[in-house]
Amino acid sequence: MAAGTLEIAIQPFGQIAHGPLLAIAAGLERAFGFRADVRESKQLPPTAWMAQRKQYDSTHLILFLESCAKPGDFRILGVCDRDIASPIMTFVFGEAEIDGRFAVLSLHRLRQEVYGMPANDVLFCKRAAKVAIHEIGHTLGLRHCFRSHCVMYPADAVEITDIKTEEFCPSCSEKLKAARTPD
Amino acid sequence: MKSGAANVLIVDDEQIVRVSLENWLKADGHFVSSAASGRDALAVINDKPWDILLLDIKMPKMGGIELLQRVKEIKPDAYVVMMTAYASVESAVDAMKKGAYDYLMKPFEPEELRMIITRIMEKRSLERENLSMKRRIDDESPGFEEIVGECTAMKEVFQLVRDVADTESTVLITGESGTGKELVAKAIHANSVRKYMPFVPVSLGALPETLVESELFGHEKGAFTGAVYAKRGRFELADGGTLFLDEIGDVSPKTQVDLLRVLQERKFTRIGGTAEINSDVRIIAATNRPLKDLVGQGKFRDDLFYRLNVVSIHIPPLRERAGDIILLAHRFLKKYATKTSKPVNAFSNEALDILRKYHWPGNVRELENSIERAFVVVKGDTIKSNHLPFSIQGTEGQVNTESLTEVEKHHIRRVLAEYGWNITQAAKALEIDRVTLYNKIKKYDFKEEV
Repeated sequence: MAAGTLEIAIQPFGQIAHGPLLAIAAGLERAFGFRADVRESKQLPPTAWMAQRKQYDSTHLILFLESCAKPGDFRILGVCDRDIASPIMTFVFGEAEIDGRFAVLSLHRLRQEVYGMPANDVLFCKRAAKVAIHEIGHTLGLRHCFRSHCVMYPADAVEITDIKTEEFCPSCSEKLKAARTPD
Repeated sequence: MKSGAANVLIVDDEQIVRVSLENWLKADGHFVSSAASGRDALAVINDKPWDILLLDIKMPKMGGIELLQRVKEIKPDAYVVMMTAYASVESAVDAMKKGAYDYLMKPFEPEELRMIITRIMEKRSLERENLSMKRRIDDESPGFEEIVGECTAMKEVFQLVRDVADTESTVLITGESGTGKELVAKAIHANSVRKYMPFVPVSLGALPETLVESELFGHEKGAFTGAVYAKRGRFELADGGTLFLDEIGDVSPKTQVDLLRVLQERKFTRIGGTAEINSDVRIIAATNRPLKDLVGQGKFRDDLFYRLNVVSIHIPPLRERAGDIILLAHRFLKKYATKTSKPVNAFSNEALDILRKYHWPGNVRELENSIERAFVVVKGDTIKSNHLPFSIQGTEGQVNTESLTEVEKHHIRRVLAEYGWNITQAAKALEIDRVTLYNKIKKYDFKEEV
């Protein structure tokens, strides 16, 4: 199948502004050459809510995404604006199935306001696109890359997300070439 | 596999935790498997060389602590990291006492887990490096296999090496030059508890008197003209291991005093230094001189002799162990066939006869050199008499007075005899063409002897 005909579905959860969603779609199209389609928003599944931690369970959201899949969806990226964490981590920006179909990201901790700073929409959209490319990279089999400029560099803080670029390093690009054409 | 990638086994009864940890660990490039219970984990514990086991403490039936104990019984070296959402100081202490490497409280910071894994993998890598170094030392250390001998005298040597290896006793090895004294010293070291520490040989006879002290004890910067840098001596370099003092019978009276002091006190100072340095070394000394006679003549200190001669091992000369000559010759044949990649696998009967009859004043070293030399000239798969050095063929001396033509004449006649006058084979061995050989035969008027 030629690049461009494959589709990455972006599944928003809850109320999300168009800006970051469009930035994510554009970023994914640039990075992978696949068409990215923003779906109609769905409610966050209450079963994913971790009341004690006041966060949504990212692993649970990934499992939930399966019910949102449509035939022909190549990859599905869930996007929410609430704080997410995996059951074992204090928080995550995103989580993905390695070599799988589903990934999820949260916009919550990508906002400057969360860190007591004035809003910066451009920076916020850039961060959202980088996290989206990183997570979809995982679904295509890419592991963390320890070259600091590569988009697959693991970021546990927004400062690191800001340092890394939207690009894949040559080594990750090579791996991606092998992975991007489906069987 | 990225460097530092680990084989990780997750054991947790909650599926969501297993999936989540798997996703996270795989994203970091690790190889991950998971088990839902202690029982499932024990079923796969021997399937892979797990680098890290992540165990949840609270699990139904077999809890994490019990599983930790069972894992440690099967794999005492396993790195186990315990995880719990209900941490208490008691449970953490209990887990650590039972052999857990670390303890994580759920939920944890991503960086916390990454750092633990990195630490474990660094330790694993050091352990592997250490193990491979030990294996290399084991492989390279000359054990008894390096010393060949079936005669009674050599069997006694083997027994003594075995008996003395694991003691701390000073050993004096005597024997003529080339009998393999250093090999015996290395065998003692390789079979001792010090085998992973250095074996430091020093040939005292080869060192000028002015250098002996600095070589043995080292010197400080500026201790004497030319001492531009501080230097560690052999006693320091051998710390923890074995110091082999070869040709001990050749040392000056002053060095004898210095050695005696360090043997008595186990400490010394560098030349030009004031600090006393302790050295934990085992001393093995060797000489080809009759040390006891030298003591009688007043040329060697008796107190030093008795210090060194705690256990003495005498290696008989090769001529006294004629039965070992052929054994050794075959050992060297194998060694040089491997080293030179030549398909040589036998000696001719005539060559064996020469080896057997020769008196070998240079002992095993001379025998080895002779075989090594034969490998330079041999063409086929058999070492023949003409491949052996003239010196052991009993013809040494004649060549010196012979002209080049005479040497050529003798050599061609010998090769022709060796190949039964097969012109093709003889020409091949001589590395000349058949026509040239025919011309030489004509020139020297050789006739085939019937």
